Amino acid sequence: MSASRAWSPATGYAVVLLLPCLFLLVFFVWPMAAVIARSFADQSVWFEHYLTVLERSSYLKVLFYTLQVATSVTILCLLIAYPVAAVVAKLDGGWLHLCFALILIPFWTSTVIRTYAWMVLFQRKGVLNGLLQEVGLIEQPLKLMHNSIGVHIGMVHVLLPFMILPLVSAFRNIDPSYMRAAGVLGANPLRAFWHVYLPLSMPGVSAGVALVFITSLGFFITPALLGGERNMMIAVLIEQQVTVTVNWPLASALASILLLITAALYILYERVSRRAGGGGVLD
Amino acid sequence: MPKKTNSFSRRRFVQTTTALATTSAAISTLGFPAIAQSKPEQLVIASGGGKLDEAYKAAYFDSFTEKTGIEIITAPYAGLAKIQSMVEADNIDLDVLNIDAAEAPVAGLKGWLEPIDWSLFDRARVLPVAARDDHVYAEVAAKVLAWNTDSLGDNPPKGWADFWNVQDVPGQRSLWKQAFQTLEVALMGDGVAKDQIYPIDIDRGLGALDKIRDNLIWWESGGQSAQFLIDGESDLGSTWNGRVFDPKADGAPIDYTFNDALFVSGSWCVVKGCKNTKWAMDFIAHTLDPERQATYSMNIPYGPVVPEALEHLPAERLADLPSSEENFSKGVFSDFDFWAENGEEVINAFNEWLLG
Repeated sequence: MSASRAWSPATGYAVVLLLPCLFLLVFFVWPMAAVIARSFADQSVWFEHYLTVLERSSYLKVLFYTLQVATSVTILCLLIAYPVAAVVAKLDGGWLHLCFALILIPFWTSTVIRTYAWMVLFQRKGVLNGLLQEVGLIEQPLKLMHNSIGVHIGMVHVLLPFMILPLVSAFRNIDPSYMRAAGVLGANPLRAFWHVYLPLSMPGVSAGVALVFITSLGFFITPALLGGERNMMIAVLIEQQVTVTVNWPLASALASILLLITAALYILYERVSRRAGGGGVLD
Repeated sequence: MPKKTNSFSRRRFVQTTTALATTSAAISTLGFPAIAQSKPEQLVIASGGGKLDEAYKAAYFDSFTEKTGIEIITAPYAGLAKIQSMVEADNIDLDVLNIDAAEAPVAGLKGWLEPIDWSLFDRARVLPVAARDDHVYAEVAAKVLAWNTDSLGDNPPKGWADFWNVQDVPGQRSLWKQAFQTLEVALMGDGVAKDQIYPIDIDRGLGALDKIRDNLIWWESGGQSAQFLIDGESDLGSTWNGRVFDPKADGAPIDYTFNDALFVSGSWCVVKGCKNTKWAMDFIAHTLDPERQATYSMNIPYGPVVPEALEHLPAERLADLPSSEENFSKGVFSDFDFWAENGEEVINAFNEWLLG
């Protein structure tokens, strides 16, 4: 074909993609490059600010805790969202709309308001403890906040829609005849689920896990309000360096380390899920 | 900073030449030289918003506009991060800043603040602690000990020593999850005399916190500090007097004492390179007028930084103000310079302790 410059669908896509690419370049790549560049500012030796992070045991603890919370919140979200999404995916008409409303209305409510609502429920003399004591189920109030329990419940609540929505969309793409075929061929429901439904739902799982995990890493308000002294997330430390001590190079180093870890985990996750045959997030 | 000096002198050059041009006309008619900075239509003031802004408006903003014809525009709070970005971009779009008095010396050390023009107001009339070279405290507020009256009404704590006395004053305690102000409170609770708190003995402060750790929960925001006490989530805790004043007046089960208060403040300052420095300084001097200071303290329970203002205030109001003669003697002022110089080290030690 000599008319290589003629219009083709590919060049069409390229033109359409130019604008978002430009947008990402200006509002995402450039600021991120600036942050990374700043993590090397005001240093007397190379990687000075990175070394500071490594030297301070509190930073490493917070980093580790952040990853730990992101992991456990992601697993909890997946365990709760999977059956919910499976049921929602089978609905249609009014019930489907109702369920979507129930999922989306909290999603559109401010995180701060939802976190305060949990505080009202979970306090020592809050609604839940009052009720349980009234009924006589407990004598001493349960410690539901100022600890990891509060952080997890609050974060799972905020992040559930990020898991449910991609799962529902993946489930709705699964042709029900596959499951019927598995049944006809003699598989019991559990076996059919394991060998047919679960692998076919993996794209949704991948997308949900990536969304929830990465969003968890940057959580700020919920752990601050529902957590206790040890439930410090890395975002809190970064904010402290930006606004209180105005040590922007150190804040940038912390942010870059978080970015590096996220990217590394993401690549690892892509590899593993691809090998498992479920397909990566990008498939 | 050679670039800045250049642009400054260039601007000055332009201003001077314009001034010269107008001066020749002015001298003949009025007989005095034109001023270098022309009068702006408005000043942009960044502050915390809410009730604080309402009180500033009632006492300072409206009267300044009346006096000068310059409109006051308020902008959202601009902390250190905002100042640094303005300085870096060499675009100072805020004229007067009302920032935490703890932030001002940090900005001062970085060389970001314009010196206060003390020729506009007699510095000796201002509380010595509040009159600084490059910023002026805007009020006197207090970090106080407060408690839930349902649980401790019969046996209210009298100071931080009682807060640390878990045996005789049982109950859940709450403190700010920050090294700043919390370590001061811990030292007072551990028996350090008020005038001996600074420089802060970090190990002793953290050791004191260790003793009551099992009875402690932490708050992160001012609203939360008062809510904990009102809801009974904690029985006694630290909070700011402005946070408990209204709930107490409205009948919430909460009370507080100025005993062992730690005085804190906001502060007025002007960032270097501001285009309306002269007028910004005028505004700051304007706020120091004793009667206006008194008007401010009638609108919000924070005390004046000019002691003369106390004469303009009724006795029942003075009882609620941290800088009234009686209340001011019960506490100690935060040493913001200590924090500006040692903040990072102390915050890091505090974080390590929290996570330990």
